[in-house]
Amino acid sequence: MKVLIKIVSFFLKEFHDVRRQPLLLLSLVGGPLLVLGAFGATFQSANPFISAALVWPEGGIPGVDRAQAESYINSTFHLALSTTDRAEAMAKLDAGDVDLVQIIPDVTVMQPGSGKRPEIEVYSRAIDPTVEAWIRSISYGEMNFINQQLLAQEARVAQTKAQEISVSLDDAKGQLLQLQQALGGPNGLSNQSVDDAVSAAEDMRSTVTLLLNFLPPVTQAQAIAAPELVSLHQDAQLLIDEMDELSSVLRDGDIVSQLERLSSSVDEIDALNSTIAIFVSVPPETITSPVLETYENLRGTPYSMVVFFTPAVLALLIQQLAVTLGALGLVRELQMGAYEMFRVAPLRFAHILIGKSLAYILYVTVAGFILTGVLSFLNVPMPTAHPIQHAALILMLATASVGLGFLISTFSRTDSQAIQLTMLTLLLSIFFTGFFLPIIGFSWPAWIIAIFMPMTHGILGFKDLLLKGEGLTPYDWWTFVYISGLFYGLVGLRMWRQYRKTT
Amino acid sequence: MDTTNQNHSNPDDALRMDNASLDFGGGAGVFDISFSLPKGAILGMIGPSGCGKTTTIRLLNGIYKPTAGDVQVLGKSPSKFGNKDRERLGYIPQQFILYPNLSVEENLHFLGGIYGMSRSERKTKIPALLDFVDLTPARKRLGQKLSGGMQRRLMLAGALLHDPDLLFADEPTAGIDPILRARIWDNFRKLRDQGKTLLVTTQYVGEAAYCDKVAVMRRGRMVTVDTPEGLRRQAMGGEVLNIQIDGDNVAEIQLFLEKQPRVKRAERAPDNLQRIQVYVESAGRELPVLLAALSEEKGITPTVAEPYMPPFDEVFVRLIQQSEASEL
Repeated sequence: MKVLIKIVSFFLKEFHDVRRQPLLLLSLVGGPLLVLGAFGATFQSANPFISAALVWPEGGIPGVDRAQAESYINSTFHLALSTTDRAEAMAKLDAGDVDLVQIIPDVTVMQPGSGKRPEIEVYSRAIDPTVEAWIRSISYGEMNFINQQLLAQEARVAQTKAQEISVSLDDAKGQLLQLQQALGGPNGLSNQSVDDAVSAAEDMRSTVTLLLNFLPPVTQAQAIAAPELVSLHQDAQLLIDEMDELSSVLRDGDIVSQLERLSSSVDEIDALNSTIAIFVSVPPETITSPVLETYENLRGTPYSMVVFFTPAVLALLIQQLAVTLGALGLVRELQMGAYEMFRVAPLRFAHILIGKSLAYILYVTVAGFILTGVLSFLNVPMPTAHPIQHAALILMLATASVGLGFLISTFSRTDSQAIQLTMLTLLLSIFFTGFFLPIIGFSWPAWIIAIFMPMTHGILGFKDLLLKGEGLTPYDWWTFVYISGLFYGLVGLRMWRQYRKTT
Repeated sequence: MDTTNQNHSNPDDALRMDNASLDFGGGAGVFDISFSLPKGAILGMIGPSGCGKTTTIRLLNGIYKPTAGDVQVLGKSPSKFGNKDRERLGYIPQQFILYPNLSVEENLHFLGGIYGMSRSERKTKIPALLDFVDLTPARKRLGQKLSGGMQRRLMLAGALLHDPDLLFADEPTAGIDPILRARIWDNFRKLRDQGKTLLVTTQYVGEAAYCDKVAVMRRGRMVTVDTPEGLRRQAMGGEVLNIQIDGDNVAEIQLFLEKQPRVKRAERAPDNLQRIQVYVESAGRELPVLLAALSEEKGITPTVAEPYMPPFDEVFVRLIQQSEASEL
């Protein structure tokens, strides 16, 4: 009974002490509320803001619309300048008016067969590695966009050429049919007729060869996604071979073989015409971008960045509130000289620790509930599926964090030392708890820090409860128990010896 | 009252130290402290700042353990105190002045609570204690709104709430005005009259007069322990008579007095050359004898002839000087 009275005395003392400091309460609870509100009200994007200048070739790019390209760039960068004057854009970059210059090459002046590929030149003066990574990633996307536009234009040209060739093929077919009739007649083929037919076959061979040159090359992906292009290549090649055979048979073959070959050639022309008819009906984008992406978020729509980050902010605020109270909790009385009296009184350090902890945990937990209520104004889903678990998570996070604060207190001799160490904890929390950088991106020493920071587990727990609507696993709860046990154990160990130590 | 240094146990002793030392190294600490104090007495511990008063208290209340010698408090070594023993102690540390954000009553409830007193016990005792230290009108006032004297009296009430047998008060009157200091000493004497034992340290030498026994400390050592009167005698080498003469034969009279039997010496007072300070074993016995001798042999009747009670400031300075001289 006396033990309980002693613990309750410390609890009530801390309770009244904090209650009597409205400014402290305001800064501990109202401060985080304001921070949370400011975060929600002002956050716009996690992407870096990059001002860009676009240098467009004077002759433009066949098949690529400048306005469309500008719109594409504006979707990721802020397009501050679109010009054809390279020097003007570079001057802007040098003056710091823009962060990035993209120079689109004039593909029309490139020499075919030179082996050189046109390059999109990108220049920046970035000092931020994340900004540079962002620029390079987006520039790569733009390069793909322009490449696709160019390929689509090429496909359109091939389709037009194929349609023209189709007409030529019909003419050639008529000639072959006439030759076939003449060959079946009583006079057979005159020498002049044979020469005309051979000439016609060679003309057709040249025309089809030209068609092959216009066709886009066949990639493995296109073979799957655009089989008509493959067929066109195959049929065109077959017709070329057929024309070679026809020329040979017409000069040297007997009449039977000539008839067979003429019939075969007519069939090949029909086949190629059919394939051309299919090829020209396919959209050019299907030929140039054979693989398409489909994406579905099985949870529905993703959260806004504000909502996504809010559980981490909540965990940070709860942890820091608790750590600050704990860190000042022991050192303040050490400075006041209260321990001198406690050591003479019939008190164990455990009475002090438990009484103080209960008061701080109560305050932090209430603050956590209030902060959770405020989250609803930021459209954060409330933990309706697991309200008890949410309350328990706040309680466990507060308990572990107060323990961490007490541990800091045992290493501090003054208030200012305790505050300095608390700020160090804040920095560790921001970098090594997955607050905004994934832990997996660090090497193993950082993981150790992450494991022992209550906030790491708080962030995961709040994301599960608030964003996923899922409960925590027994492993999650035991983690808090282990961490709390470790912190309070270390505090007890450090203070127990000092508390009763007689020199 | 036993005021001598002893080396034997006495069940009536509340405090006793036998050659107790605590050496912090580098000359710091306390050394060879020996004294005993019976129950129901006030021991005043006087000495300059840093002389070892607080260290001695910490040895007695169990915060420190001696590196040599023996310490007994209420018949037990403080390092072996259990909760029951600690409940018999009250302590007013030098630095701690309670919690500024708690009211007077809340501070007292907290202090009673850490001694395991139930709320009903506290509610019964607090009003009487507030009356005792004259803080009833301020019972709802926050600690930060109290004056220095009120804070000290609140500390006193807090230390008495659990009704200890022995109270340690480390400079309870530091930094407060003489009127309030006198009130606090009134409280201490009332407690002594109730049978409680008190050890009070102070830098105000004059407060020695309030004590039953006074220990003078210097550089970690106890110069002497005695009653206030005993200290005066030690400092002055006996008792002193002030004899003031009108006229120009003061030097002659001084010589005459010095030659009288049982007169140890006669000196001109430094602040008044017409006055002669005569050191004797017993002022009450020698004064009429000396007055008769002056009248009969010199035909002189002094304008002033009275026992001189040197202030404790002077007593303290003389004792320290004697201590320094003995070290040379």
